[in-house]
Amino acid sequence: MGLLECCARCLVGAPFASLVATGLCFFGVALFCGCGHEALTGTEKLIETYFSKNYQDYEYLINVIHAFQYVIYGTASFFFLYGALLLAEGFYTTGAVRQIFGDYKTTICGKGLSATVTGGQKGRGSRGQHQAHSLERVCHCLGKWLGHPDKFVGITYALTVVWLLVFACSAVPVYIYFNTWTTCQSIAFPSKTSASIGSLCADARMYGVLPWNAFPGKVCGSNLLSICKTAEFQMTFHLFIAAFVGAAATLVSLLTFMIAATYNFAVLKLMGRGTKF
Amino acid sequence: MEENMEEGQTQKGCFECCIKCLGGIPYASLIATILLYAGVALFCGCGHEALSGTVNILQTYFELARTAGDTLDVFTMIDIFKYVIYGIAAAFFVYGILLMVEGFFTTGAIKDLYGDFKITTCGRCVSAWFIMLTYLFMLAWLGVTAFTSLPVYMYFNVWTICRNTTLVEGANLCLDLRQFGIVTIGEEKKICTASENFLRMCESTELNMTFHLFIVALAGAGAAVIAMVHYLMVLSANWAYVKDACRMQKYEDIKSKEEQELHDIHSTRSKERLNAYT
Repeated sequence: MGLLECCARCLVGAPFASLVATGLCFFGVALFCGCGHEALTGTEKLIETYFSKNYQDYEYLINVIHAFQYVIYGTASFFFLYGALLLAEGFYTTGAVRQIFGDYKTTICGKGLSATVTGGQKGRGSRGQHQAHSLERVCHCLGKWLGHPDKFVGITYALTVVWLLVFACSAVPVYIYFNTWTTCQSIAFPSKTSASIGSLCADARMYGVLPWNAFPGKVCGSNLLSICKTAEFQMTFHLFIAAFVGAAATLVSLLTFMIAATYNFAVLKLMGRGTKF
Repeated sequence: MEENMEEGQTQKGCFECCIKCLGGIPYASLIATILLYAGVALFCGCGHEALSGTVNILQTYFELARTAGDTLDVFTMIDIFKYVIYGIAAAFFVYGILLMVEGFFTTGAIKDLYGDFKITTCGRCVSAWFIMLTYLFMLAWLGVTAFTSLPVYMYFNVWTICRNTTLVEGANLCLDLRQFGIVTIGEEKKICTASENFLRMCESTELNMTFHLFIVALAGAGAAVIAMVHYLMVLSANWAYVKDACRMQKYEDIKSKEEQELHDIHSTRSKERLNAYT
């Protein structure tokens, strides 16, 4: 009986919106960083093997790809920490919100944490000089930092704007590979078109991937078809699609975080106003 | 004497009325509405003109002709996009007004917590519905933003080719629209750096103007997404206020009833005491 009641009480304090957002954030970032990294590696191999014979032609591209991969490492690390931080903030503020309504019984740690949100301990108890638990003091300091949903909303807002650009840019490689794949479909089934197969090309220079003095720079006809049939091309194409989906999922999770944090902020603010009446 | 007092009260009431009226303005909703209107106006206006410029460039320099019949060529697609833009502009003009009105009413209800405003279940349902609808619109605008980055990318490549033409003297490089998916595979519409059309295209201001219009349209779509984010934050905060204000109203009602009961009991006892004395 006591155990069941304890579990029910524990579940009441779980921030389900933050849990969903954190799961979506980790999933999206893992998809974007993992698939993006492998897709960039695959692109590098395709360019080296089929589109250019001279190292100087694609040296700049390799540097750009490596720079992107380092950025991906940094992004993965940052979002892992930030996701954990947001989840902790969600647990904390949700616990504070439910405590205000009396739906939740807190421990010593909870009391120390919630004090910073509800405005501190008031009444006769504050007059006596009682010695606080060391655990309560640690939680008090932690609560001062975690108990500000408005700060988290601001940071998440800035992250959302930045990630919007990442999301828009990740659509471009999907577009490139889709067009190349469409051209290969036309080469594979020539009855649909009246153009000669030899004139259907994929020109990496036209996509801005290689400089214009690269040789050969483009692949035409049956050579292009053989590239599209390789497992490497198919894998890279699907990896870029998965990276694009991952970027979208991350963006949605950040927005869900902001909605939940704004809601908690509004509740705490209103309750603070309510105690003044 | 009484006249002076009445005039003083009248002026004071007027001033208080102004303060109360200003207090009810939903500033967050105002900012979000301005951002939404700016974003949608940029996206629809610049997008429309950019599509018109694209049609001119394709017809003038790439010698594409508008085909008769029901074939889905690039010109038909551009016409469809223009009609979609008209629909988006009209729809979001109305939606912005709806959200602004909702913001006014909700903020007014919250500020006047113990006044004449009564928060009903219907109002809470409307707020929840607005949250869900704005969430879906935000997802749609995300797709629009990603899609709008593609023409920016195309024009950036063409612009880069024009700028780099002088670097590859003698080489005859060709620009094939099929690789961008603009024309069908059957049509071979190339324009090469050695041709006259290419030079005229690069020298004209039309290419530059269309490129910049697409960039501004992309910025407008991004602004619309951010406006939707603002609305979601405002709506969720209002939802929290409305929900908890409803609880406080119930609490106040119960409190009033209890006080009334206590008052009645006290009066009854006073009467009983009076009767006993008699």
